[in-house]
Amino acid sequence: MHHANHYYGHSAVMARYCGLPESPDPPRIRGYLQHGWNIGDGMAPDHEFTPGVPSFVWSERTRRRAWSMGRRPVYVTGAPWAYLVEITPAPDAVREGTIWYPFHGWEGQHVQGDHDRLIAEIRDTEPGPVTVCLYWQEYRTAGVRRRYERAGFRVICHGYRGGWWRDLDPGFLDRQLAEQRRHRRVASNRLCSAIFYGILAGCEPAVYGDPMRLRDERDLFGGRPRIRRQWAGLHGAEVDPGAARAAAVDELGADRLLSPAELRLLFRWTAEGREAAA
Amino acid sequence: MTALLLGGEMPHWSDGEPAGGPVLRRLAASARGHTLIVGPHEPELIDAVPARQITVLVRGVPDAETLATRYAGRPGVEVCCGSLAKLAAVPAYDTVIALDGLDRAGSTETEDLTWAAGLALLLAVLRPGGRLLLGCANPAGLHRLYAAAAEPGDADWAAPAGDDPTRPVGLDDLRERLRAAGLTPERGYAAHPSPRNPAVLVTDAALADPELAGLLTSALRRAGRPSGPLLADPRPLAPALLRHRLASALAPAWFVAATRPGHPPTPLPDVLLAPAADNPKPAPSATSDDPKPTSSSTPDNPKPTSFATADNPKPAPSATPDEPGTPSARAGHEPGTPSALWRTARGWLPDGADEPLPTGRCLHDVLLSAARRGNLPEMRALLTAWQSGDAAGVDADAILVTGDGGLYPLAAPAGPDAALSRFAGALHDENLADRWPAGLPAAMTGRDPDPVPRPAPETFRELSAAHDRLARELSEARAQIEWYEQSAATMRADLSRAHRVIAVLRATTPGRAATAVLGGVRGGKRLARTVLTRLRSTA
Repeated sequence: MHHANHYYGHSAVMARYCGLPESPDPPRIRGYLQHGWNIGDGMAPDHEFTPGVPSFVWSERTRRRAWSMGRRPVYVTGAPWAYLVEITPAPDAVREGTIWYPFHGWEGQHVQGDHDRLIAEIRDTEPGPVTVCLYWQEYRTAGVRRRYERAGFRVICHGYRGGWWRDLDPGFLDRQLAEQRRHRRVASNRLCSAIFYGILAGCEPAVYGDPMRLRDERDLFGGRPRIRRQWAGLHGAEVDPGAARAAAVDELGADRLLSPAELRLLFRWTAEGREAAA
Repeated sequence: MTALLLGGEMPHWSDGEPAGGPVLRRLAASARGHTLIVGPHEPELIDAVPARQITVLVRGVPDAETLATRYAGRPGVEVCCGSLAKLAAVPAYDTVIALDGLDRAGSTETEDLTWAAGLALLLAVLRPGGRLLLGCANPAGLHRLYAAAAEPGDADWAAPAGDDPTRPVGLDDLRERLRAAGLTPERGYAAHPSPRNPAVLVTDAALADPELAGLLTSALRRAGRPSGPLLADPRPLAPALLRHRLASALAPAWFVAATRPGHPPTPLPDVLLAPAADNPKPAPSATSDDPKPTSSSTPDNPKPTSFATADNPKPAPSATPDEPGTPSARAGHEPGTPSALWRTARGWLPDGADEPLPTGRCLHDVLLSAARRGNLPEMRALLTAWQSGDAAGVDADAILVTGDGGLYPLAAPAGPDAALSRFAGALHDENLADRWPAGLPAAMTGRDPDPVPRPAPETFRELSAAHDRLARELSEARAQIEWYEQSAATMRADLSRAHRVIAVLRATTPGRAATAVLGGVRGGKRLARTVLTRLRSTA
């Protein structure tokens, strides 16, 4: 029911896991599905709430936090990514190099930072070939894209996440998972969804380099300093993979995945629910 | 000063209802050396800690910022913010205060902290020879047993305390856990009526002593109700709780002071009672025959017991505890200081007093017992003795009836009419109104009844009782209306019959003659009136 439920093809992944027939129209989830990792209630800061409409969050920690902020009802479903990893068989291919996600702004936001310095840091740190994955805004900005290409990096974009039910891309996460499973490492200059995704996809994580900043960025819920302190173990060029995996499982709720039947009930994807929605 | 963020802090969170109040402040005031205060505590409690070096740990960032601002000018106070689990496990503190308990020491960011794990974390930072002041709410306390249904609040993100199998199940168990951890429990208290701001702290020894039962009944009756919506007012249960030895098992919370070997003895009293800070001062003219109540006190807005009056058991009716020369002032009490009671070889000695408290029963309960038995002569004798004596203005639940029948006041007078009216209200609350109508106690003492409007009940049981009473009164009123209607119908029938008899009588010869005479008289009257009117108009 919220357009953000369909970002990155999240609703499509959940529908596939639940055994819903493929459809060009994304299935309507009765509630708000968390679409990115954050340290607040799981939802985007500009998210409007209607009382009584459930939130579906990724982790137990996010549920506790959302509850303390008065968000009810709130259910832990786990991240769509965790379901995708679960249902997509891993290829036998040998992993190589690093997939690197420079911090990006979202629609209408602008990142301020020194890309050249970041490129130098990546070169100094990464032992193998580097694939830089840009957000679609930066990917379309020729200046930014060429800088990374000139550095000898392979530059890719997973696609456009979609918005307001237009230009939806049900294959977004599939492409991201396929790319991540080709790489041995996943890195970024900020701890973000892509790092947790990469860890769950089997990559060794690293978070280093100038974190850059958004114009007029506000540190909500303790912001960057809190992320640095609370997940200190995930920061650095070399990170303990065991601790990283435990953190990713926690944050993506990979140990709390629901069964298709349970999800269908919560999302009102049962026959009864669809009739009620109609 | 800025708060030190330890990790696990909650940027958006502020804890309501911090632990505090005068009796907990009194415990906190016994702290010595470098003191750690864990969990939300009211600032006045932190102020009461006499230590030079104090570290306060709270989980909500707004709370930490408020404390940091408050203590910005006080060197030696450090404010930390985060989860207890993030506190460095270094034995750095001489005193650890966690009077709010361990339930609010964790955060959304860390795993639920079991009670045992929380205690281990507190003990890990306590120095050898250190002292722990710990509170522990009782999930089976009266405040919970009598709690009305409530939606889970924002603070209920974790499993409820009652689900924690590591939690102590009683005061004995709590002491045993501390002993097992190498500490020596100095004092263990049962706390009533609210776990975070209790008005009564009492040790097992005090609870078990029948000589103190009257005073403790008075204290529990006057301690107020637990906060929040309740199914029933627990105060009428006070004497039964004491008699059945349940006042500790069903206490809303327990508090302990425990020390590591090597700690110098720090004596604490057996009983601590919140001061009668909200005691209204009676009007200067308040005497036993003052017709106007001088107190706004009602059974739902009670006053804590204050005693320490042993050197003069019968204060003048107009005296208040804060006035110079009154017994409590002579006993060295500052306003707002809780009353303390110590067990001595001579008996129970209030703080600063020379003589122990007398033993006796609480007058309120003696009166109620007589009322329940319907013993009117005994009631009259008790009421008359109370209302004709110096304690006339003191509430019945703040008076001890000693073995020789004397009355020993435990609180300052509120005014005779107010005290009597409050007792009449209690008769009503205890469902004795049928046998003891509201004005009867006043009438029994030779006074004109001055009925005070009853406040609307706030608890479900009392509301249900009021509903049942009103339903009965309505049913009775309907029966009375029916009876009056039947009476009116009978009288109407009699009247109709009388009219018919008159009509029949008129038809007889003597009747007609009488009617003609009456008609002639009426005609003469009319003629005379007409003549007079004409004469007046021509004159």
